[in-house]
Amino acid sequence: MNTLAAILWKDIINELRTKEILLSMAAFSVVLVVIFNFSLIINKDNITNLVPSLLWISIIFVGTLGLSRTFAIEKENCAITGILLSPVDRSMLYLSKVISNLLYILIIQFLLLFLFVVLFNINISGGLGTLILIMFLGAVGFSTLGTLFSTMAINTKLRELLLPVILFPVIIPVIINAVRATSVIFNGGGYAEISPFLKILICFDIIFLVTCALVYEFVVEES
Amino acid sequence: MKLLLYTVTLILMLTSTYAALIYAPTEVIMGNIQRIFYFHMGTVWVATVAFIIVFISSIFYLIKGKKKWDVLAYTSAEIGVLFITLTIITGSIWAKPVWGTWWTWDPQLTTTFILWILYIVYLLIRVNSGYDEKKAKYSAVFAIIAFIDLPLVYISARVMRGISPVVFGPGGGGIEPKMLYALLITLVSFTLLFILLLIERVKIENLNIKLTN
Repeated sequence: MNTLAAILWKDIINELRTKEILLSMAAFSVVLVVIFNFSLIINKDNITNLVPSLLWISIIFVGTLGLSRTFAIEKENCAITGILLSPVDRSMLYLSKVISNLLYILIIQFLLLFLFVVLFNINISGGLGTLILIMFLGAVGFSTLGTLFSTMAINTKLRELLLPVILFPVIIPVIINAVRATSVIFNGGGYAEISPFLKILICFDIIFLVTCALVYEFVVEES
Repeated sequence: MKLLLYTVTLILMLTSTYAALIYAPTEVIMGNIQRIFYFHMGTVWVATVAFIIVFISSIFYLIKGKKKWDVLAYTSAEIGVLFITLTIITGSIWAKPVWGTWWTWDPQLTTTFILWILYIVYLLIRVNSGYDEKKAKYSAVFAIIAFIDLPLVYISARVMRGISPVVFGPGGGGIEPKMLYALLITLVSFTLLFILLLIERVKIENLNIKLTN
């Protein structure tokens, strides 16, 4: 537990000092929302159907941007060698990276939600709590697989280029369920209507958190 | 032994072609186009077997670290991608006259499509991962994740109403005996074809490894 907290704290301190990951993610989010605003004809009839998918597309695009950075930082000056030399369980290293990625994605999700709600004038007052739950579960699913795959991608020839290619097909269940659940909330639905989506999301999160933690030791290496 | 396998496979492939095109009765509603169903089932069966082999041998590779498991996973994935492509093509040819469209996002089709993408990505990882051991490890990890992912894709897509025909099991329409025989012969011959392809492909891959090292 201590090692987990130590690695996590190192990541947070590092990010607080440089602010490079969060700032670029935030800037990208704003740009994406502006582009959506100008490229789509959004009116009262289609807004609640369009915005959920736009929101989640933005989340995975911006999230991928952040994911590819978390291990690139460790590669600089071979910092990863230091971590790997210390007697740390690889799954602890994995979990700490998942949590730091999760934190970035949660922050960005709230920024994006705020932007969409304000700029597209959506009413979410009824289901804010459930919406937060959906976004949290989606973010967990995204960062569990994202962390594993970003570690893989950074060690290949294509580097960051490979990450979206291997990540997006696998997280399709997350996207399908998160978009549907979000769209129910935007249309004024309640918790009962979204519970099947939430169940699949929870299953996805648990299955992949365990699997990824198990296989992580095969993926992380100093080369 | 190998000659025997070749001969039996050849004979069975010819028999199953005969069974599918001539022996089996014409379907009442769909007509002759339904005959492609035998090959469709044959290819999807081979692809399923191939991807199960990829999954199992990937797990064995991660546990044992023996090169032969990696070779088996890779060659099997390659054949699987070939046959799942054939499945999609034959399915589309069948769907156009019957459903009136080449493609629809029904759960089975969505899952097949994602399956196809996932294993193409698997091959892509193999091309781009540098030296051998890393390549083997990464692709094994990805194969395991991809295989576990598929049921979740299916469940997620299930919310929409399915229109792919369910032939067997509860709610299935059942099948006429002659059609069943034709189907069984096709499945057996495609399985033999798969074994044959796999043996040959593993041999080529081993030679390839010997040459490059």
